[in-house]
Amino acid sequence: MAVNQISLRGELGWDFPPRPRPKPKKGKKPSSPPQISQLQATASGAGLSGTLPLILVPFWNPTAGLFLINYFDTTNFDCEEDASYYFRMEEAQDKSVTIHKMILTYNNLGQASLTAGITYYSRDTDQYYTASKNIKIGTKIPDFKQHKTAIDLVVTGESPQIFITRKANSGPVSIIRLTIAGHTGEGELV
Amino acid sequence: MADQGKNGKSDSYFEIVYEQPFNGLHTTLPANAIERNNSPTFSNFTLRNGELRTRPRMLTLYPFPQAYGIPLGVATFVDAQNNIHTVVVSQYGIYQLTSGLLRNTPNAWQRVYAFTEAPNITAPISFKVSLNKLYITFASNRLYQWDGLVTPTVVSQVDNTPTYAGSYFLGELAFRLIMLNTVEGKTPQSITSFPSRIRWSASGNPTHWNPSSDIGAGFDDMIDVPDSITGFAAPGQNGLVFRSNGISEMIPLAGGTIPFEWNHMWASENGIGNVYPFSIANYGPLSAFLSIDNAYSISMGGLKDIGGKVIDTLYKDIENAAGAPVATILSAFSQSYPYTCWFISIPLQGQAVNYSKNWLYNFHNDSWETWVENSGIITGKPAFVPTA
Repeated sequence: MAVNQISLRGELGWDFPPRPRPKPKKGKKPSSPPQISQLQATASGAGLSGTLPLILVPFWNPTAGLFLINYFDTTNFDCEEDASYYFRMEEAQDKSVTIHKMILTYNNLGQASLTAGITYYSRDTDQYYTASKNIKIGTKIPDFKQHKTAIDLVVTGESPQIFITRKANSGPVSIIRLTIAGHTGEGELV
Repeated sequence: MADQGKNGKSDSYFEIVYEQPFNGLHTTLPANAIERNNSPTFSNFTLRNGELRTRPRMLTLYPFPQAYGIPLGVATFVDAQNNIHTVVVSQYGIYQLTSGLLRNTPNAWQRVYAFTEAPNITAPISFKVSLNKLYITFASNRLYQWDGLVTPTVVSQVDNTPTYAGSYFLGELAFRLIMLNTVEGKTPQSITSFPSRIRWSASGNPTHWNPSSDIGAGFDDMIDVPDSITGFAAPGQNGLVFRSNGISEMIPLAGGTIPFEWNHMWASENGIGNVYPFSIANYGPLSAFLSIDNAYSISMGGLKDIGGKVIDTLYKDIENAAGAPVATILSAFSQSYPYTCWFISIPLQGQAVNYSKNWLYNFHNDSWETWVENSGIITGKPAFVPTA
């Protein structure tokens, strides 16, 4: 089989065999891998070729009136849609709890904005409430290491449930651990 | 959550840690009754490698011209001259990708063949690659063969009338191409459906389907079971014929006029079977399907219930589907991102436009997640294209 060295190899930042990246000159930013826009079909026939496979997705965008052949770019986790994650609703034997601290441990994939919040229940009003905080995580140049950030939210109520939401195109988010701290209520159940 | 405090009262400090393994959605229990590492609802996060990570971004590789129709399926094969062909099938014809184009180039597709009849777009397009040729059928009385070199041809004449056949499902077993749940007739306009019929080609020759002229070709109507064929998988030496209320093993014999026998795992009127033809997917020895009561995987180890934690929500989405859902098993999303998952895409009606809610089942950690794409719907099975 004729092996055409598809530009995808360089686009994803690695080569066969691995070559050392040129050291950036002083005062200049290090060069980033070539962008995925250089992807091209280079087969001697008519299809995609190279060493890196893809998932091709037949797609219809009715708003734009377009039919498309899409793919998922696994080098880019800045999802183009809103994302959300709700943790388990916690219980303290039907007592009220106060949560006063959250520590988020994340993998630094780059700058991202997200919202961390808590929904909680008030038996007095028989309603649910939400408290949230917008936070920014990550650095402009990702180091792919674990970082931590504290989220200072103080809420008191029953059945607290933590959530993380992120707007579309707000950067890549990778959560490794979330720790919450607080106190349960005093006395007997009333 | 509460421990004895220092004063002996129940006021106490607590910490709760949420960390891996994140075990995905659990929607069949109340939100305070699930395990800590489950979630009652989430979307567009993926659970790979012990992280909650936003899912990969979906990008356009190439547009598909509106005049060419709706892309219903993608396939790839290598022809006898070692040329690679990436093919899209729409209701109007077969198209292949032009070589040497940058991403997002318009008019990247050239028509190879124009259909004289439109595929039934609520039935899955079936592809099979055999001996450097691509075979395509889509529930009309046509089985197309394309060798990548000359114009595609119809190769499924089944008697001397001549009558032609196509099918809903295509498989390969014991050197024979297999058509299941066939559609037969002299012309595309006068067809008869045979939902229990299985046809096989001559051994080693997928263009010979006429038992009158080739003793190796033949067919069988599974009249000893009450239901119709809804899928096929070939996990190993034997094939699995999925029916709406059961599964039958298709066992190759030594040859002769009857090269197969069938072992019905169960032949009752009610039983575990594949009720949604679009849902069946297989990858090596692993197959997954949706029965009336649950989602199952079937492998060498037997049948396994995999839908328990999400089945209500999943089936509610299927009930509300605005079009034909599609499903496939993906082994990886790229070379650096292996992720064996059953990918079920369900089009749902949005406020303004239809959108896709994609359910992914991760076979490694037995977890479910959802990826939502609000810009539109997936119109055919995603295909893993090994580019070398």
